[in-house]
Amino acid sequence: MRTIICGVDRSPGARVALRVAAGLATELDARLVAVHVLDRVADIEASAERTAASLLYDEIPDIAAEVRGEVGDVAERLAAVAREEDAMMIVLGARSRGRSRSFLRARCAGELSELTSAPVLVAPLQLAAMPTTPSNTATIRGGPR
Amino acid sequence: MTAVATPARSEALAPADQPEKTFAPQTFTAPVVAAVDGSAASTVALDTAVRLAAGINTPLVFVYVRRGPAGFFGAPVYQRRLTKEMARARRALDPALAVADSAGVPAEGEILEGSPRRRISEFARDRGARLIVVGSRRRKLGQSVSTGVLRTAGRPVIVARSMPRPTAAA
Repeated sequence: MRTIICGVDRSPGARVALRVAAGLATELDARLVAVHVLDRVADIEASAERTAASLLYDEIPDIAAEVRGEVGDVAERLAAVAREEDAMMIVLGARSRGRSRSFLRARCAGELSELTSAPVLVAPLQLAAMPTTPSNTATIRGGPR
Repeated sequence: MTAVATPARSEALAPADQPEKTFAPQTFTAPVVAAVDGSAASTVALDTAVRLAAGINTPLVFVYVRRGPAGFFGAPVYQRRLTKEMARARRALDPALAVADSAGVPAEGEILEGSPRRRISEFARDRGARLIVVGSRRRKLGQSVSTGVLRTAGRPVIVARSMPRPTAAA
């Protein structure tokens, strides 16, 4: 079965990424695995899993998805999970860092694309302004049909 | 005051023996836009786009962005360079269309002129694209087309990159 990996944290961009990933996973009949990576030594993987699970519950409560918690460098861990799961795609959210640092917006995606052969999808922050109503989720999934 | 003759005029314009025209709403499917340029990275983007479009049952639009020849050399040189650029664009688009056709995905090709990052984003916005697929090559910081598209597109962008898979140790 095909697998889509979605890197999640509590940022608005990651929430958008989760919704986009869920829409694609449903249409492609793929497994969705949400991965939260903690880079602090004090944190433990169970806590990362809890974070990912709560994000799933908040954003896509009706979609079946799995969670994984990882500790380490974000790009490296996501690439490793994508390799383990033989992922068809990795989905990430964009980050807003202000105009002067806008080139950093997709820094993780840039690092990740150096480490993995799976295509990296970056969900735009502009979609974060849309509330998570069913109709808007459908818009993200399919656009006007 | 003169009487308004609107009912009489409308009857004259639409006689009773002619069927009334109705306008059915047009169906619109947001396409996947894939940028191609014939490079190795573009080939990976092409494969990704075709697989994805087939999976989500969406048409594909391949775009090739040419810079446009400089005009200060005069008409004959301009024309020669323009012809070369168009031929190069067809060489990139035709195989892409053939791949999509063999996968059963409806596809079309467009040749655009200008800055690639700006034109790809504008085109995707104009066509209401659902996703954009671009290939990625190693470039200096700030010169990457894929990063530029990520910043300006306002819709999900897939960056596909060719990487040699690690070979298993014997």
